Amino acid sequence: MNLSAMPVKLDEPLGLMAVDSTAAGASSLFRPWDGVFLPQELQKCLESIAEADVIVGIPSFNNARTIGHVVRAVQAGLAKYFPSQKCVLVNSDGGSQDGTAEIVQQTGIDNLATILVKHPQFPVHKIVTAYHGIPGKGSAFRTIFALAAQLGAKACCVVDSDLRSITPEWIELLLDPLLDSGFDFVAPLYQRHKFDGTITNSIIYPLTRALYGQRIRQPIGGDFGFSGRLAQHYLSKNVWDTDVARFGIDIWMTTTAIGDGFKVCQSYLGAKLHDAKDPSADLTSMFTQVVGSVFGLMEAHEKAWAPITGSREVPTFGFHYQVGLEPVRVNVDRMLENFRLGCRELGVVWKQILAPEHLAALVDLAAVAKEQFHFSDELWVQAVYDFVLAHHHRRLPYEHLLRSLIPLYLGRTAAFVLEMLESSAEEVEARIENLCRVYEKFKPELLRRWVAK
Amino acid sequence: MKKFFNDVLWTPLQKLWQDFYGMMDNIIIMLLILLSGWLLGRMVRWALHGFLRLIHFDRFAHRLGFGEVLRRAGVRLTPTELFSRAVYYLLFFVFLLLGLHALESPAIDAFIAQLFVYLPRLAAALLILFAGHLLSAFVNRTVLIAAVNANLQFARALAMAAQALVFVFFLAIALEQAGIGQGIVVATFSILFGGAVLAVALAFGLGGRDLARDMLERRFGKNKQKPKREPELDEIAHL
Repeated sequence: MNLSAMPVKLDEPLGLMAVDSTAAGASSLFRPWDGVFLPQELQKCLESIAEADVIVGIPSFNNARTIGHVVRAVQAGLAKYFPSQKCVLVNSDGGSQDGTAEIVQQTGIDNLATILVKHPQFPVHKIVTAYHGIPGKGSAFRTIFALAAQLGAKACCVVDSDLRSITPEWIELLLDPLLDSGFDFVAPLYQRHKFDGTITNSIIYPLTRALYGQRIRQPIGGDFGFSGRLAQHYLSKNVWDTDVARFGIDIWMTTTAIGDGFKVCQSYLGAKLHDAKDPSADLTSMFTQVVGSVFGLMEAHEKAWAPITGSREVPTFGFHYQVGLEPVRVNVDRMLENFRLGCRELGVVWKQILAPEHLAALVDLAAVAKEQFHFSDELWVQAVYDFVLAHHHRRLPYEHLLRSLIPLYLGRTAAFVLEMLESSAEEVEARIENLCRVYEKFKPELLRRWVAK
Repeated sequence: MKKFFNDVLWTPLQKLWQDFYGMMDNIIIMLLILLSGWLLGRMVRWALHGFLRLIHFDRFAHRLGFGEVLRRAGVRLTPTELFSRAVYYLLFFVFLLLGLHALESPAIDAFIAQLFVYLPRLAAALLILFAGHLLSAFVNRTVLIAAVNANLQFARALAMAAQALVFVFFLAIALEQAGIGQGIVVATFSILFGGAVLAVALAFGLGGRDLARDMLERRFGKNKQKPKREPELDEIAHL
């Protein structure tokens, strides 16, 4: 049985142009997708689908190598776990040149009998469309939100198109808490290599946890579930010309869900394995967009995070199991070299950001040999908070500030790798837990300096 | 001898004194104008300073990014202080010109007239120079941070070279605007800029010789099928 009963290919790109809702003919009622331009062809397609219970979005850009597997897993997951729901799969593409869209259209599961207990009542509609606007994951997500809002979806999820470890169970784990338990946002929880996700582990997770008090372990995991209500809430925000349209989307979704009082939880999905690529090639833009978004969101959600002290666990779904992970190569020497170069050359910039005692400690640290190199949690957290405050008080241009943090981050990562070389995954997790406590410990000081102009 | 003394020394001195005595009124008027200008300037400066502090002008200027511009330019004054001082000096300058005009000297009047013609060009040149200073400092920091993140050991030298190049460019425009040594300035800038570009091209060419050879060989040569050499990379997924 072919699930892709109604594949729709839209040659015309799905633009994200603002539409004047006050123009003649526009409805007087506000509709969440009004700010997103949907071409006529897509509108017709949506009218024919009329409504949907569940939407699964897959953002993509030149992912021909892996997207077939992801589409198959999603289709199997929807057929197996949501046979009585009206489901739509949306591929929001950034103009791929490698045949990604064609693969999504052609991919289907020939024989569902082997994985299904119950046959689905409705076919899974498949929409393949391109988005316009700022090229990036966030713009792709905006299109998915718009379609979810227009079709009145109850539950939605998004999964990356370069995943090699996705299984049909991911779809259940990301959607079930929304449909059955009344949650609005489901963050992923993965098992990752101890040296993977270093921005998450050293800045994003501990900082988000200390600020908002919720222990969401993978706030920028990339694979999320969210209710239709939350999709509409996302659409109502005017952030689509910022870094949110790029790599900032993940932390923005998580923070908005927490900061605006939606019910959040996380689901254990197992291992997260990506398509092989060169992660360090894009480190600067990735780092500045993600960290910049966290800093920017602190301004927007000041009232939400300021009164919070400590943190608490969030409800977690899924069965925890151990999986084998691929080994990771780390070039510690190059990271250390970059840190030392930063300490030698960026003093004039850091002087405007870091407290004098923190700057002096970093300069001293740069002189320490690799064998004794230890970047303490306290120094790291205080340095990050100095950067947060410099961003808040606008001491430097945004780009300069964030980019000048990269050598420090590399120094910290190098120290972490050196320290944890022989440690088990549990020991590494305990180490990260300790770092989180230090972030929480220094939060009152951060708040004091935040309000003092 | 006495006649000679009268003709050569005494008579000119008498004439000088008479001329000076004739101008005394004007000089006194000039000094009074200068004093008024100074007093008025001080009062306006004091009043303006108080008013700007009252309306939190510094906070407003920082919000607009003006405080940031000053910091980048190495100006240590607050926007309030800078603005009130600028008004003071401007007022004093206007009174200085009025005072000089009160001397009723044709030479000074002619000079003032010339000054008024030249002033807009001078102001434009100063503005260009100020903008050049700001932009070159910004370029310095941008290049420095980018070079450090690219792990270039000569990051500071590169940043300073970029800053100097941008500043020299603005200096050339400013001098051109001020009408100072136009030909020499343009020639100097052309030589410097051309030299810098040539140096960069040579450095890039020499440094990337192997890379260029590999690329050309892959494109045209016998090693067309030779796979691209993989650089040594981390496998960390940072996010």
